[in-house]
Amino acid sequence: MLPMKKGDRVSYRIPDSKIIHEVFDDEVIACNLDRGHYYSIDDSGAEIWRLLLAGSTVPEMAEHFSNHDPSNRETIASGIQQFVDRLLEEGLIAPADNGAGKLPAENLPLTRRTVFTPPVLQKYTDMETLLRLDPIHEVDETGWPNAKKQV
Amino acid sequence: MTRSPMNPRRPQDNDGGGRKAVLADFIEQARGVYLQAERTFGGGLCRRFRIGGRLLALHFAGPALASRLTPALEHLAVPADGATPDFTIFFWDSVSTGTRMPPPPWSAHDYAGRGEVSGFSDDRFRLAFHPGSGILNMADTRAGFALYWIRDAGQLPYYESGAPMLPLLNWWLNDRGLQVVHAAAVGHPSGGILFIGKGGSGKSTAALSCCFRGGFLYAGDDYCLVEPGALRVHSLFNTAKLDWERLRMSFPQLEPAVSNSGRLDGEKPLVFLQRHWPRLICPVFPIRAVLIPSLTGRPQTTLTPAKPMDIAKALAPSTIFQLAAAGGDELRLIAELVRGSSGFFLELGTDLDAIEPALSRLLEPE
Repeated sequence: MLPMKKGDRVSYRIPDSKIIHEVFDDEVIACNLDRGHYYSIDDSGAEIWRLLLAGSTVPEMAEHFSNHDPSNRETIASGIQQFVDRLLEEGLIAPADNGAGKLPAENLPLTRRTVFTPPVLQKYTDMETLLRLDPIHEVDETGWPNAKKQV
Repeated sequence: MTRSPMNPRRPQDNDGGGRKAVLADFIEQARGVYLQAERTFGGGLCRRFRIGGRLLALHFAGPALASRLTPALEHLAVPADGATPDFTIFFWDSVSTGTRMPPPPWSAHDYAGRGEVSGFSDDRFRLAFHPGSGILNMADTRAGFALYWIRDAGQLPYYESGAPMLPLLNWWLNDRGLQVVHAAAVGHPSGGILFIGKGGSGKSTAALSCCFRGGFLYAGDDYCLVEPGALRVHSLFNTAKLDWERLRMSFPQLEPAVSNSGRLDGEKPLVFLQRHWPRLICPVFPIRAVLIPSLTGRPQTTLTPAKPMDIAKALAPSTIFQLAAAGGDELRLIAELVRGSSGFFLELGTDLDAIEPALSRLLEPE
C-alpha cells in the first residue's frame, strides 16, 4: 500500500544507506543494495529526482514544470505522481517524517531541464544473482556454516 | 554437526551498538587465535606488497594459505625493509594450524547477500563471511589491520587464489581514495585502457588479445584498482582467467602455464603471468579511455562513443554488488572516475589480432 495519495503535500527522503545514487549530467543511477537492483533515470525523471532530494512535494514539482507549460498542468501532475509512486514501490524513496529536509519552495534549486516529458524508471535485475545466498542448513559444532565442497 | 545455528551470545536485534561492541570483542578473540596458530609454526611467515603505492603486510600463521594466496600478488612483492606498513592482514586456517575458531557471535539468520552479516559492520569495524566459500574477513580499519580465516586451507576456492581478499583490499583502500573495480586494464606506462562490464562481456578476451596478440602490457583482466583523483589504474593481480575453450583456441601459448590444469572439470584455467611473462606486467598507468566491450561475432572491431551514464551502468553495479559492505563511498569514487574519463562502446571483432591496432589510437598523445 502506498503511503500517500495524489495531492498530498509530502516530501521524501532516501530511506537508508542501502539506497545509493549519483547524478551524471541529466541522468541518475541508483542502486538498491538489499535487492540487487539498479536503476537509471533520465530527462524529466532526473529533474524530479533532484527536486525530491531538495525536499519538494509533488504539487511543488508539478508547479515547477507547469510554469513552462501551463496548459498541461494536470497531465504533468499525474505523470509526476505516477513516477513518485514507482520510486516508492521500488523502495528508492520514502516519505520524510514531518517534512524533514524540506526546503521552502522559493529555494528550489535552479534546473536546466524544465520541459516535461513523462519520466521513466528503467530497472535492471541482472545483478540479483550476485546477492543470492546459498541456504545455510547446517553448521558445525562451533557454529560455523559448512562451506560448499569444492569440485 | 548441529542444525541449530543460534548462538546464546547473539545480541538482540536492533541493538546496533551492542552488535558492534560484540564484533570488536570477537575480533580480539580471533586475533588471539591467530597468534596461537602462528606459534604452531614458530612465528609464521610475513610477506610485503606495494599496492596502489601503499605498503601492505601479510602475516601467515603457516604455509597453507600463503602458497595459495600470494601468487596473484607476486608482481607487487617488495622486500621487508623495516618500513611501517599502511595495513596488515593476518591469515590462518584451523585445519593446518590445529587451532579452533571461537563460535560466531551471530546466527545463521544474520547472513545476507555479498557475505555481509546484518548489523555487524560500521565505519570502523567491517565483517564479511561467505557461506559458500567459508572465508571470514574482519577488519578494524582504524587500527589498520584485518583477519582472514577459513576452516581448511585445502578447501579454498580456486577463484580466491586468482583474486584474493577483495573485500579486505576494498575496505583498506577505499578510505584512501583508491577503488577496487571489476575491470580489466591494459596499456603502456604512458597510458592505457580499462575494459568494464559484467562477466562474459569480453573483458578478458579483449585484454589478453591486446597483450598476447598485440604489444600492450597487462595490469589486470578481471579486477584492478583505480585512483580517480589522478585518473590512474594500478594492477592488483597478475592472474589471467579465461574459459578453457577460449584459451585453447585463441591463446594457446598460455596452455602450458595454466596453474590448475588438473582441475579444469570444475574450474576456469588460471595463469599467473608473473611466473611466465613478468615483463608483460605494467603496475600502474594513466587511464586514457574506458571501454564497454561486447562480443559481436563480426570480424571487425569498432568503437563508438559512450555517455558517462553508460560507463556508470557498466562499472558501478558489477563492482559494488560483488564487494561486501560496499555502498555510497564506492559509488562516489566510481562516479569521480566516470566523470573524468572518455568512454566508448567496443564491439569486439572475431579477428583478435585486429583489436590492439584498433585501440592504439586511443593511446596516442592528444
